[in-house]
Amino acid sequence: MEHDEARLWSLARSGDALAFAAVFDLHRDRVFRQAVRLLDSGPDAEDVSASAFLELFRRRDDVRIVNGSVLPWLLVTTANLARNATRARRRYRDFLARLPRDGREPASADVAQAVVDLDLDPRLQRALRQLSGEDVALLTLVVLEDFTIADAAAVLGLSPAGAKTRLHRARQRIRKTLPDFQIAYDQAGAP
Amino acid sequence: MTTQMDDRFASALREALIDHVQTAPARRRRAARRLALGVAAGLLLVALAAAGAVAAGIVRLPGTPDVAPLAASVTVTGEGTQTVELGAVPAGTTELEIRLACLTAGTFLTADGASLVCDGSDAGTSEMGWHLAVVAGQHSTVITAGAGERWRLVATYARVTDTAWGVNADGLTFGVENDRGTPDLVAAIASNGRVGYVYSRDLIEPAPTSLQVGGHSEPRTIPVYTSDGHTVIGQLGTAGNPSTAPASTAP
Repeated sequence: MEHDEARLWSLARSGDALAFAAVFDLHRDRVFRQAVRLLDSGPDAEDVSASAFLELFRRRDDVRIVNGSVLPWLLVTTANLARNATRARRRYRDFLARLPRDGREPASADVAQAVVDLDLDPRLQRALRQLSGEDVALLTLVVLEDFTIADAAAVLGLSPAGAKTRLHRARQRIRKTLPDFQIAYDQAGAP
Repeated sequence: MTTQMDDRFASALREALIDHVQTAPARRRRAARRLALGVAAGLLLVALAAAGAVAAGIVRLPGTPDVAPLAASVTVTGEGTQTVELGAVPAGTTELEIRLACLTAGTFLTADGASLVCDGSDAGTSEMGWHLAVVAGQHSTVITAGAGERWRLVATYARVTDTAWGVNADGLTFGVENDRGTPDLVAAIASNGRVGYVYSRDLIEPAPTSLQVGGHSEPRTIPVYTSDGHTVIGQLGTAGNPSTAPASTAP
């Protein structure tokens, strides 16, 4: 599967629209889930998800591929875009204006349900938003998306040891906010 | 219930992205581009890579990139970051084909930043195929890895040239996707094993309604024709969940 995605990405980054659409098919829901974790409104999460894929194409020659997949890069980019959804919307205003919005559920209820569906504690969601873009990307990749620390480090341009340290500190910051909250943390190991 | 993008929004976004990519200004030709046909996740479009088609005894399909090794492969076993000398670049080289394998756990990067990440259980079994653009005058490539992280690189200079698509009696192009784009009829392997063509428009419409990981995908079939675009010889795949129905490749 990874090898197939590497092939798809090779085609997509050379301008093959069908291949790019297939990459979108592969990752759209995980990108959307990442956006929902970090944003308050459904339309914001959709705009940020769309912007992440536009960024994927715009920066296609610079995307870090990890084990043949662009997903880690997409999730990191989504986290960064979520930090400034307004800026993301401004850059792609014309593109986003073409997407359907009518007849949608009110945003707040939409996202509240989405967060419940994600099985993400709202307190953790709030705490994640206190972290830097890189830390939230690292934490979501490893704790919520089951990437290895090595994979997350590769896409963020960190050494595995450096990523582990940052992850430990991010977890400590979350614990300060939520002292009773235990984050599943199998891979990272106790520091 | 799991969180996923609204289907209507996702379909519209998918179409808008296709339009965005198709209308993007052309970039310089990328030497890295060589694969014959991508595998559309969820559509179970079968890939017909040039080598696979040849190995299977299939006649070379129109538009298949012609990959010609121009020198003997160089195999190097290394540790940590190393520059690998590859020798003089043969005339006509367009890219460097590589296979990078990890022999220990570690993160291994190619010169263009593609990475292979291995844990202990991957050592000796995990390998990445890639292709690098060849820069004039450059006769080496760098593998970046941490101290003590061991790898094996097999690198081959190659010349990749596209072949022309066929044109049927209706004036429609047929063959495999390549640097020029997508032909009207795209090569595919039908579920009965016969090689034929599907209309590229059938691959776009309708957009999948559900590709949620672990979720349900609507079954879907596409007729597979001979190159005339009229004679049906089989059906292609069903919409599959990417996590449970990984796309197949030709043998």
